[in-house]
Amino acid sequence: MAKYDLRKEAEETDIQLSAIIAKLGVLGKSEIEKLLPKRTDQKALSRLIKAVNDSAGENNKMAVLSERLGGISAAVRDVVLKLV
Amino acid sequence: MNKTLSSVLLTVAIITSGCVSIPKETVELSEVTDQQITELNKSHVRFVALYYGKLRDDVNNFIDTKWAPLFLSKAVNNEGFRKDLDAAYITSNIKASDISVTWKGNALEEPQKNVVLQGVAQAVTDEKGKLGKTLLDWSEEAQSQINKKRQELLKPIYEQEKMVVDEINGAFLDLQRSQGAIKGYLASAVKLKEKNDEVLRKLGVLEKVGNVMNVVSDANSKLSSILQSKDDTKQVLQDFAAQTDQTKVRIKKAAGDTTQ
Repeated sequence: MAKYDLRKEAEETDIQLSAIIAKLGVLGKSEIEKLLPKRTDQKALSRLIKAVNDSAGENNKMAVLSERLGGISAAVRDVVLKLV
Repeated sequence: MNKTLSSVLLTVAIITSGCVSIPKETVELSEVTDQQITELNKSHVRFVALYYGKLRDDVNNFIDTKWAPLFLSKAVNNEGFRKDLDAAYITSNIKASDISVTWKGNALEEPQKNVVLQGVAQAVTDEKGKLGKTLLDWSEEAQSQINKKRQELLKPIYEQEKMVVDEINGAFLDLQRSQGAIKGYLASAVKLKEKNDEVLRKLGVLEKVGNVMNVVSDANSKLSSILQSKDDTKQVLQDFAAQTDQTKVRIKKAAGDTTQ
């Protein structure tokens, strides 16, 4: 416990400088809401991202399949060309 | 063999159907967009830090130049402090030369006078110590009030800055997640197109092989018919040779060989 209680003097100072203190404040709620970016609905965003990722996954699978088909066709080609 | 080739051709046709032409530069562009999003994010956060830094400077300047001086001017007149200070100040300023010592109405002589004055001098020294402690106690409480006021004004600034930065970073994270999914999809589409183009190039060969096989198969049937005909041998041999020559031409044509 402090020997001298100076809270009363601090409060008097606040009162005397209240006009300046009021201007030092941060932005009000409505001002902040106008400035902040509007967030996308998170559920909708996650659903869309999943759908796109799933399509990308399908494309990657098809790319692998195409690659394998390319290998098969080369083998068939070589055998058939020998026969011809 | 033809059934196998037909199956392969059909499967590839199904796979390649519905493809959209997507240049690989779209993936590069997507990566550039990624970098731009990151830079924009950093830029926004820097602006926020700049703005709230300015607010904090204003608060510190206000405390140092306005609030603290006014508060101190009031604090020095605190009743309790003033009482202790005045008492300690008066006592600590007592000088031996200012004291006249009397005992039972008569001036006290040496050495008794000296003993009394030494006692007073010691008391004065003690009071000087009290004066120092009084000033120290007061200073610590005054500084505590100043610090408290400063923190009271700075705290909402720090809190709001954190909230704004979190919101901005959250919005950019949404953008980066979306961009990441789009980039992944574009990369997969480019990859699929590249693989399909390879297959299509090889399909050209497969088609040729298929055509050649059809010619060979057809020629085989015709040659068999010629050999099994009841025409004379000379005619059979002539027909066989002619058919063989025709077959060679047809094979070359099926294989895409345009030279004669």
